[in-house]
Amino acid sequence: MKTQQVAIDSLVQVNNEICLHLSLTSIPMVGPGQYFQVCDAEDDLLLPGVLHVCRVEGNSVLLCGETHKYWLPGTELHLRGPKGNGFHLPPLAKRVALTTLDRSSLNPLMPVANLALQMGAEVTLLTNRPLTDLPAEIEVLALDELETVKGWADYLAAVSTCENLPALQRKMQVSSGNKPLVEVLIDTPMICAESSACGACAVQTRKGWRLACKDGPVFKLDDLALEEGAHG
Amino acid sequence: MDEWSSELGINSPWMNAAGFGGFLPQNDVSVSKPMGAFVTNPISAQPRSPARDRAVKPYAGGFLLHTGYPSAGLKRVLQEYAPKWRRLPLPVWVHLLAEEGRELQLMLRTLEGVENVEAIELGLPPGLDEKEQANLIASARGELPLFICLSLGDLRPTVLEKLPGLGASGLVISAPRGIMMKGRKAIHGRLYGPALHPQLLSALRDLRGYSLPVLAGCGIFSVEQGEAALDCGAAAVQVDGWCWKF
Repeated sequence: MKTQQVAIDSLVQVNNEICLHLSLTSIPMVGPGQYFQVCDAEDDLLLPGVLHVCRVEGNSVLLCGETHKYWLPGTELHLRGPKGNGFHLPPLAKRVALTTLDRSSLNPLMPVANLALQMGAEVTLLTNRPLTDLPAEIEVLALDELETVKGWADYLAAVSTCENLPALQRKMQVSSGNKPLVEVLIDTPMICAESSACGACAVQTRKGWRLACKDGPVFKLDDLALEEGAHG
Repeated sequence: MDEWSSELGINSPWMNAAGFGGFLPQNDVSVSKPMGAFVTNPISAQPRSPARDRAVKPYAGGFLLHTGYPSAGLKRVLQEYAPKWRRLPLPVWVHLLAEEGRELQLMLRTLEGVENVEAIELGLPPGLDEKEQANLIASARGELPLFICLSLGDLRPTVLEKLPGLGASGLVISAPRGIMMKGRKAIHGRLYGPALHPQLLSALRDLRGYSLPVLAGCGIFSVEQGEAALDCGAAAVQVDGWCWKF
């Protein structure tokens, strides 16, 4: 996997989160939901962090995620990626919903929103947070309306921690009829990024345990299972 | 290279710690030293699921990590990796997790027939008393050299003095256990990081003259720290979280 060494151009606040603006020599093809592994060149961090793409413009990229307070413009970073499996926005989706359950950053979902808007889909965000950097075309509904998504959306892209998955699964349960395809980016530390299969990012699926760093971090909600097999 | 390295059967005193290299060596680890052996992730006899309360919690100078050492089980690991281990240019040390002696003996007999597996590391489960530890170690006696992992902070003289008689070939000082709080919930795990380095050196100094080779298996986050551990008497050093830097 290619590693790029790159300096931070600037820090940008987007949707209440500090993001890194970087100019890359080459912008790899990055699918929504894929991630980059990052280390700082000065060895200030003991563990690699995970950054998600928020926006790509020309050869510059805006990354969000595990940024650090001592990262400033000019700080050299080592970047590896893109890695993992991202979102699969259905090409014919007309009504796309987004949510983070207000527990995670919204910014990893912005590439999904932008792609959906480019496809001519309507995009709705379910949140109670005040957000100031959303495209005007995105409709905002209160998070309490999340269950109604089952009745009108073709596709729901979500970000969730493992702890909040059962709540999302309950809200998306339907007894009969069609339901939207729901994909979830699992918000979990991915420290070894599959190099040693450390298991810190393990996710239980209906087909057994999987690693978010390798098999995700985006999974179909229907493929995820409650953690009944875990020990300790 | 000191007297121990040749006894350990390694060409370099540098290796990875169990749990930080996967099941095959990585090409792009940050450690600039040639590796003397490759240590596998911990392997149990049966498939082992991740811990329910797995966690990564950084703190100043280190981090707590709790994964539960998930494992596909020895049979599946060998199916996938034994053919690849055979072709590696460095020896493989298999790290085993076992709760009881019979299970451990079966794993050892299987591994004795696997080409290029040159040593066994045994991680002791938490909560065993000294007698239970001794019984488990004694049951691991076999054809392959046996290295016993004891946590920094858990190096009791009463245990150490028994190891040679129980068939151990060496001691690995592994990462200590600790607790951090998440709100009011206690998170248990192993502690890693350069903050352990001074304690590691102190333990190595205390173990000078010990009858078995001692491997420094925690608190190494730079070449300088590794060399300091070797200077303080370590026969070899095992690198943990530093493996993941790039």
